[in-house]
Amino acid sequence: MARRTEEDFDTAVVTRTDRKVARPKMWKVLLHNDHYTTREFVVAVLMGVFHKSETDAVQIMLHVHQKGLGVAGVYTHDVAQTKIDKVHRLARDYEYPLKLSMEPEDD
Amino acid sequence: MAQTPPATTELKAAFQHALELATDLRHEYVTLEHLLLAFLRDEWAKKALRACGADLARLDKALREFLDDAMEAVPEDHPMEIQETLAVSRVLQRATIHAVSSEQKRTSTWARCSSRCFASVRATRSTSTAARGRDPRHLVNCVSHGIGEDASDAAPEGPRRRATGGENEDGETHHEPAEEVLRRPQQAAEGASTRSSVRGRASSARSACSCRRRKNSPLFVATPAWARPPSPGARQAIFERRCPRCSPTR
Repeated sequence: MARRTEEDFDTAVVTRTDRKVARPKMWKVLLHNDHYTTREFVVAVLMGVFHKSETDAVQIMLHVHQKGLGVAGVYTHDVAQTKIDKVHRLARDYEYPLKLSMEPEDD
Repeated sequence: MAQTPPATTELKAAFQHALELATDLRHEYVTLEHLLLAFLRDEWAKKALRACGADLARLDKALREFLDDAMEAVPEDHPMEIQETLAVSRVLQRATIHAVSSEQKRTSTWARCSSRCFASVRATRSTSTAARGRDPRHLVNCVSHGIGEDASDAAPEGPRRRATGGENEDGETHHEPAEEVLRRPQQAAEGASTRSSVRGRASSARSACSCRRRKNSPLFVATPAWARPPSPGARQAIFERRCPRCSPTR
């Protein structure tokens, strides 16, 4: 049997595109361990820039020290970027090679 | 070296409002979302966004929800010093560069900033909820060709001053309002000498000049203005073979 196409029926398919807007991702700010930055500086940064309590700051610092990587906080892309920049500038002023990075949070 | 032009009153007001919003919500940073929300209070911003098909109530609600949910409030016991984020700095810097490059005496009314805001928001995906699918080009097109962005001293609902391509007291170039632009074809049909018809004559003169040009010929290379590539109007005239015949060169 011959296959019938749209032209045989004089019809056309109208496509409509709906745009859905996704909720923006949150970003994790990661602290990297190094052998030069002092523990006191890391705790001060966590308290001053990331608004952690002293207990939380010490806990995060120890986690970074032992595991090599730790999460300082979860923020929007813009805020995470700004906080990382602020800490990098602070570390440079105090001559520490502290490194921070960011990665998207898993859903 | 070009001086940095000062900000306009609207931009200062919007930035002030963004700061107030961040203070009220105890946010440490003024973000693009705060700035966009502040722009939504500007009458001309609202008018342009509506013209682009934006749902202002939905946009306002989405921005407020985003600020409440995603932004971290500074604890009460911490001292708060509000700063702008890197993205806001970039937007303001780009607006200033744009004002300098277009030889404006005042920096960045809301339109340049908000269009940059939309562009940045889309680029960084920081608030795709806020953008609501609006293309920044729509906003820029609307502001450039539909609604003038120098709304500093004109009532939004009132008739705007007739734009003659001059500068207002803020030093910003006037743009013709949408109604004026829409009336032009009718005026041209009635034989009135409108700017469009003048532009038409200019493009035919330009195409004539472009036709006569010969490379390295001292006779036919006119002033530097004519040495530029033909305008889109002239190109269209050449394409449709409406251009005058080439003058004999030898």
